[in-house]
Amino acid sequence: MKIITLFLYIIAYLYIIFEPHISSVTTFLFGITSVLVTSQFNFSNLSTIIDFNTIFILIGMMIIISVLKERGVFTEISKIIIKLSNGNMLRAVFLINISIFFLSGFLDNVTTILIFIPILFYIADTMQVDSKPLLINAVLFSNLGGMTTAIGDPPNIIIYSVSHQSFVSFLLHLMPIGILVLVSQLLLLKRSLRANSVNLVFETNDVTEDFKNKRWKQYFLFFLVIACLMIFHEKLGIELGIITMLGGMLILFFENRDVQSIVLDIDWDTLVLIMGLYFLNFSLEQLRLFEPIVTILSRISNPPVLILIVLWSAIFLSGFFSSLPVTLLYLSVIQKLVSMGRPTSLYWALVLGVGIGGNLTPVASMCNIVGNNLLKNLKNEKLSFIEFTKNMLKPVIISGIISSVVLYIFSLVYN
Amino acid sequence: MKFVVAAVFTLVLYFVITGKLNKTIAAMVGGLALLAIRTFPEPYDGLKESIDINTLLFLIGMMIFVRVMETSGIFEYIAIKTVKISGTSMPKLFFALTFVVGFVSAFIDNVTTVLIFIPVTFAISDILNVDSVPFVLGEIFASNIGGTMTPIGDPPNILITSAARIPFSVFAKYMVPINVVILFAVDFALLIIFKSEFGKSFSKEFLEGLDETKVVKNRRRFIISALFMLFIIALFLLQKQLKLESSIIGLIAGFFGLLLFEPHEITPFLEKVEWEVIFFFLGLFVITGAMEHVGIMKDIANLLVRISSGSMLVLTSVIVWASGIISGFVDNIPFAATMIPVIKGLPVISPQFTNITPLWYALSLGVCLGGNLTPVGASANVVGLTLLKKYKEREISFGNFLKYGLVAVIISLAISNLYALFLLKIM
Repeated sequence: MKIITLFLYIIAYLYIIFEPHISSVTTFLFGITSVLVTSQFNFSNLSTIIDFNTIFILIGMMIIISVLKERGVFTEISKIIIKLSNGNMLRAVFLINISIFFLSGFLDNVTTILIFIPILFYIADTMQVDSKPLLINAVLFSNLGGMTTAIGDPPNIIIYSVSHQSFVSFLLHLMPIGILVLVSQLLLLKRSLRANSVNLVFETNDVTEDFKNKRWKQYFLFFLVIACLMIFHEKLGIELGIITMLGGMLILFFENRDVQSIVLDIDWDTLVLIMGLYFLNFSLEQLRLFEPIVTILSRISNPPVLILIVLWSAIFLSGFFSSLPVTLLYLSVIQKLVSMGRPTSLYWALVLGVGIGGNLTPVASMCNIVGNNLLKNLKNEKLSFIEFTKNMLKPVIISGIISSVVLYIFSLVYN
Repeated sequence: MKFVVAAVFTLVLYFVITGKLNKTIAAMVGGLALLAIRTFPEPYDGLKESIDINTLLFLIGMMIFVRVMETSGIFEYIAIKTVKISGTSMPKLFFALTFVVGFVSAFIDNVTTVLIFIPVTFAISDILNVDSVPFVLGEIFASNIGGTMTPIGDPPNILITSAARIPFSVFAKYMVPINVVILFAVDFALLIIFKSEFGKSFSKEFLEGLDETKVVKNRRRFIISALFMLFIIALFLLQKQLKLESSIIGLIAGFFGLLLFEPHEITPFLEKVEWEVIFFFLGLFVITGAMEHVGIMKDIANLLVRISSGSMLVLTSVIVWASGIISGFVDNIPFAATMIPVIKGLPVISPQFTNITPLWYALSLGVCLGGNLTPVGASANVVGLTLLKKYKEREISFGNFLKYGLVAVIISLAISNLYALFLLKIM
């Protein structure tokens, strides 16, 4: 039984790595099969396998963002940023990267990339600087920003839902690290831009031309209200999934739209993949296949060492196997370790590990793939796998080191 | 809390009936609001308690399956075959189609039957250039009537037969003949209502001009599709032996079919699922679950017992009519689920009600056939009408459907009532 399940698991992973375009369906099928093989399948325990909270948050956010995007809220925001920069290139690039970082905390990373990369390319064209470092930084900040809140990224949503840490505690633990990395990275970027270009002023007129769309402010306000509700959801006593789903439905209600019209913008692929992974993990757990890993890790009595192991292994594994599967795999182990009395900082190590590792290779996260595609489509340039990884290695290692130090300080403080 | 839940239910029902708001959004907002105000002590436990995830996943899987099968031309093939076999008379064609639908949905879920046959019907009505509405109505009614025939035909029957421990063969022995009679009667009524539509006939040359082999674009794919479909039907028939949940079969059918036939186009097919329906059910499940949780369902059931005042004859008739009418508006699964413990407990409450076996049949007939009353009475109605709107851009309003539904339900419940009283005598 164990062998069959493990075999199914390995095949599912091979599909994820080599056939990513159908991996959602294959993972789902292998997941169901593994559950059927390992246990008498019973639908009353489906909700223990699949986490409704995660699914609800994902669907709700996708609906809200899709309406906001359609209403031009994000284009307006980017116009304001350009205006604020006053034609100073350094300021513009900084502002854009900072907004990518903070918006990614609440939006999905691909969306932020799609909003801002065209602007960055425009600036690079007019200033005649290389657009590749700008792209790499944008992708980096989008991934890192997504890492800093409970809902910024699918892996975070999953970890949030399982770990029972509050939204605020996510912010408190992850935001400082994110900001440290942001600052250090921006300083590096500043130096390289200074070195490469002479002229630092560009024309902003043709970007900020039409300022017609007035209603976007209402939608933005709605978004802010939902974000506030999310932050204070524990005080209100409402689950996050219900808030986001309700938000999504309410925005459709105000728009007088039906669900079917928004369906195209929901990322079913990701949802199906997550459900499949839930199934696979459930059957691995049923067969106690995690047990050996848990026993080995539980022998490590020094918490900081354990935390660092989780952090760095997650960074490199998620760099190559994409972050979602790695997250679910680690989560089952960490849940057990925490229930055995290990520190909850392990959850933060996992969040940071998969968040940072998601930058490592061009295929590590959706946002990297989309960024590379934009480079190819808009600029007709290409970043090879090795080139991308080489450029990312430095920021990844820097962020890893910063996270290690901060996590170490956290563990000292708790002790 | 009871009052709030009832108010939300009424409000949502109002929007569903009047169509002033998109019904899916109304149901979802209502359901989520009930969760947010903590009708259930733990929102996700409430969700777990009230959502029939089996039904939802089954629906998703089957919707994908039907979409994938569609592209092979297999449904047009069946359509043309049916038309050719039934000859040149419209009423004959109507009876042929509805009876095929009825018997298929006795074994397969009603929604699937509707999902399979309505595209066929559209193909036929397009070819013959006739109005598809009478056919769609006839098929919806037939699928609900056919579903009453067996324990696996309709979800309430699964619940009832497992609670009462009635074996498949016994249940079918009592239910098949009566439902054949009901289907005949309802078909006949529709025939009279749509007399002008059915008066038309088409020429023989027209039939000969049809070539079922033409719709098959890719022979290999057609054959594989047919085999795959037979495989899925076999899975459904052997469901009990294989101990597979119907949702698992549905998901396998959908996703495996997708992988088999369309590995390069997964997302478009996922988008084609009628998510509108899925989310509507999701919201509705939460609302009816909340009604059950706060005890509204129990109040209704208790009321029924009080009305019948100790007479078995009255109680049987009350169960047939009340469950018929209530499940015409509310999802029949939660209603059946609430009625089951009430019926089970009857022998304890009063000595007159010791032989409760006929009551199970009365309940099954009531909840399953009552589903024909309104557009929201049964899943098959919702799906059938959604398809009609999507492909033919025809919308049948709540009131309009009710007109036809009322005729069908009054006929079916009257026959059922007589039959239940007959069962009361012989059991």
